[in-house]
Amino acid sequence: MRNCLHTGLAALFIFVLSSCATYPVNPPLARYNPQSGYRFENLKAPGNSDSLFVILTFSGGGTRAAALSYGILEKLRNTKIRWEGEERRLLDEVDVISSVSGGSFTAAYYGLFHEGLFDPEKFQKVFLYRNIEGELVASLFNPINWLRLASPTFGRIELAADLYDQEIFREKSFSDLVNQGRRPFLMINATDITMGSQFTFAQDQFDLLCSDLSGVRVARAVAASSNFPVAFTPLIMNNYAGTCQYQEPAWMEEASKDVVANPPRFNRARIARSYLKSGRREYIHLLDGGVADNIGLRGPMVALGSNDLSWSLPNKISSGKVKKLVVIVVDARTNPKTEIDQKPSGPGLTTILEIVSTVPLGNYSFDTVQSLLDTFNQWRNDRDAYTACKGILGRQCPAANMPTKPLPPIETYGIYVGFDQIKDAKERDDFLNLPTTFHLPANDVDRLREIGPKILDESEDFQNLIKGLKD
Amino acid sequence: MEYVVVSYLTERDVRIDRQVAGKTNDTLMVERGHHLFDLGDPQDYQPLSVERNVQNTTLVSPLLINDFHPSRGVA
Repeated sequence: MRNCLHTGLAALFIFVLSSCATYPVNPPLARYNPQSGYRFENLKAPGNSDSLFVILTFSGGGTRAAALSYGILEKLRNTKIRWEGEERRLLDEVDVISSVSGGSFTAAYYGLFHEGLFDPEKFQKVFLYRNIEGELVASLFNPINWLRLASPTFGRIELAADLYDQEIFREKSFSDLVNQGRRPFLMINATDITMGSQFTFAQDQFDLLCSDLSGVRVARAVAASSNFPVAFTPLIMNNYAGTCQYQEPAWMEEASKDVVANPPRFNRARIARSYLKSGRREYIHLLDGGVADNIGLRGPMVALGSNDLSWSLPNKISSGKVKKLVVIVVDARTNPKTEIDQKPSGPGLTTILEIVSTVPLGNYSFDTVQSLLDTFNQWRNDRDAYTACKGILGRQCPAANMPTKPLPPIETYGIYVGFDQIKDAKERDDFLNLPTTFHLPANDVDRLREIGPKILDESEDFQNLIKGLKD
Repeated sequence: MEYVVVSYLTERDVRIDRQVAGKTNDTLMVERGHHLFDLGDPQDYQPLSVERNVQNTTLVSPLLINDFHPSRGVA
């Protein structure tokens, strides 16, 4: 009888625990307000000019990516510049950090804790030099977690999000970022698996869901961003579309006419509207941001090429607000050696799964970087053509003026930091074969922190930028 | 990138798809495609907005929008 009672109580305990275990629900938004929430234009920039506009993008790649981007932030902190008559650090001029997966840990920690990132007792201890992967695996062997995982609404990603929330990001939420109200603006990117598109943790995105991002823990954004396919389960966001009196921005209706004139813009509107159909997509499932874009550059590319975003760079440049525009892409992409092509037999299922879940993540990175450089080149060519025409007109018809004004001057710097740029073949090979994991030996982390600054120093564009910021 | 000049008698904000994108009579950088142009507040001009499909422009030959004029009775 007593045994039966114990068994019954245990069964009840298991039932209650597994029933209670569910993901933390993102709160609904009471009423849509395009002026409030975590948006670029709500962040002040004390000591940070708009005229020097700096965007950083941090790629995926586990601790390897986190350490590489960490080294870049250390380098920018140590780089003194002079701009508009004032001495400052280049780091203080960073306006936007767009990140994916491993890079999101460094980006989010800096966004929340600023100088705390560089304290050896903080980020380095709680993440960079820590065996996070081991702790994630250990959590899977905890019987309490077996019960929680038995719930259909509590996936493995929630264990990771809990760990990051408690141990790394100290239960901070986006409301803390809103209250700080200072740049850089973080774009922590995940992938919406239904649309195959980028899902950025910013209020503009959450407006579409009629959800208040302020009530979402930053750790959940980072967990979604680094939610490696297969290893984890999708992270879920509730969609309350139709409950907050949301009004579509004007660009969406215009873009919906651009199927021929501008297909990518048409597609942005199509994706945005996919969230708006009440009841059609009640739960949004998110995976690693690298599935849509493994270098975090696509979001900033929209701001660089479009008037649709509130922080559109064309609008800022046309208004003469931005004079120097810098984009530094930090890419921890590797190219590990494989023996697949040494044997006639095909690779096993595990290898295939690994390939399927990693190769697409890096496939389009080169194209995206090229697109950035092409954009800057086109701007330069357009200005050169204007100047040349003006010169010809001046010579042929000195009394005539150009019919339209030129654009305000703008200098652009597209800087890529990746292991392919390492000059020494042996060293390059070492870095290109580092594993993707949330635990690297301390020596590898040290080397990653050093190699980023070295690559930056060897970049001609970076040297030209610094030269122009010393005068 | 496409280029547009919205002409008007005085210097006013130009809004593209309801967001301020620059000033009248200046050259503006515009993404290719359909856009709604207006001059913001006060709405003392006609028409209140114009729509254009912006494409195949250059910095030397931008799209000129000269539809806007003060409302009747406004100096």
